[in-house]
Amino acid sequence: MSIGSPLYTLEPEHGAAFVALVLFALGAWLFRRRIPALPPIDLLLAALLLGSSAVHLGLAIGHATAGGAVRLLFLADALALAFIARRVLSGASAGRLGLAVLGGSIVAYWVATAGGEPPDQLGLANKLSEILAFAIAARPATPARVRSATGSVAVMLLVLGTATTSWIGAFRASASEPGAVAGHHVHAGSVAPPGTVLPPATTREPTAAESTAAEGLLLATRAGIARYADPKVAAAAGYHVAGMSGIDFHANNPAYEGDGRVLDPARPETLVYAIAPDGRAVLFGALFVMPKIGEPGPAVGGPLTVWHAHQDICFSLTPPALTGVLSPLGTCPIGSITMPLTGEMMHVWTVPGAPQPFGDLDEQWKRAYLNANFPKR
Amino acid sequence: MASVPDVHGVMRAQAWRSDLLEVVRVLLLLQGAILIANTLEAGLFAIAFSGGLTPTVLMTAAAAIAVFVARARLCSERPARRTLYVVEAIVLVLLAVDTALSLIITHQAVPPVAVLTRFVLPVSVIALVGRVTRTPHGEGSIA
Repeated sequence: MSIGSPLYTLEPEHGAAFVALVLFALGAWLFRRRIPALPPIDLLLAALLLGSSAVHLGLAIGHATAGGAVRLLFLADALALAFIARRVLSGASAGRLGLAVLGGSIVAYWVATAGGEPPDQLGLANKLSEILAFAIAARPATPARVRSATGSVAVMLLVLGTATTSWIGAFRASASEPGAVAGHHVHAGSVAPPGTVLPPATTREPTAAESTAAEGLLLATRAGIARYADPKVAAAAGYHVAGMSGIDFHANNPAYEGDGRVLDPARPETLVYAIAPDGRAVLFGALFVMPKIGEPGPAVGGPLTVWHAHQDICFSLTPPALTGVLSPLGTCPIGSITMPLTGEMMHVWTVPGAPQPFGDLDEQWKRAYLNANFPKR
Repeated sequence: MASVPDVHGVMRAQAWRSDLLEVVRVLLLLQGAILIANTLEAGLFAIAFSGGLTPTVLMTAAAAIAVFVARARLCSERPARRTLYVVEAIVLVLLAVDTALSLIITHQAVPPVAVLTRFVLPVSVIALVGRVTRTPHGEGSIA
């Protein structure tokens, strides 16, 4: 079974927090007649605080593997949030204590995620609701431009901080996986980076037959794409080489993408080039893509030749181009659509001396190779 | 001359409208902050992979500005509200496309945070602004 990034899913240990949130919503609906008549903004604040309190209570229960101190902190946060909600429901303001508790809860999330705790959908939704609560609590009671502007800037910084630390957490959690280590297990692991779907990490060594098949695929691909070392020849064959830039330029061939052939060394769906310091285009290898989404690629070399796919990537329609990966905030740039899943694909690096012929090619090695063989004139 | 009950009615309507506007303002602040964060993310990605700013970065930045301008002029200008409706409509249409793609390709809905930031937030803003403009005695201050 392939694994996507936890950024877009619900972590199993957050299940209790989700149940607690649903129970809170159900309870609020059942006892709606007992809710005091308050302005809508105060009712919204109380609901956000109580919802977050329920989530933290669930986290204290659900984080069975975490230390006692962590669970105690979740419980303390739940109680503090409930206390402030009670104050709001009684007609008082959240006050500085409210801002401190909400700010502390959000910063605690930053510390956890920046430290490598993979963020998930419940955590992100909870932080966004706490930021909204902070925005309400930070409103000045009377019109005051400076305090209002300070509150707005604080809310923007909280959103930016939450997005940034979530990216850091998602990539750090993935980078600590054995599959992220350069070598033949690359492109596998139990925590995928955002935008990627990986096969589970395998610990078994390839059989002799698999090693031979993988070597055969590499040699056949090297021979099959040798003629495309000249980008003009690639262009004549239908590869989109226009606008080549960077050290990881993927030139696709729409005709080969739609021909239904699988792993044909003479007709890879995409070629990968790098622009060397002297300005020339250097052919690094090929990318084979399965014709249908969800169809697994043939494991010709066993653990040596693993396939991956991409999930939740942003595509611009104006003009057609890759514009990013779905943000932790749930958004792609305006004018882009989210592609939930791509077909499986596998890189084969034919460039001489590549440290790993399949999977990811180390970026530093690429630069060193280009600088050594094609230096700036 | 307005009778006493009429005066009370007007005051209640104005208080109700003012309360709803407060909710709209905090929702727009959150939405604007999300769009700014999204602009920075898209800008970094564009610089890293495309070598410069792309139309989507500029469109996201324009949407963020439109949201903040609408937030500031919600009470006084009809064009600001119209621009806001256009931004919210674009967000909702793109979410509809994404949801359709997700259901067709993966048979799953879009992630819950996307539902919150791209459905709940814009729909709440549209609904609340609509209610504010429809509130009796509200035309004088909102139109």
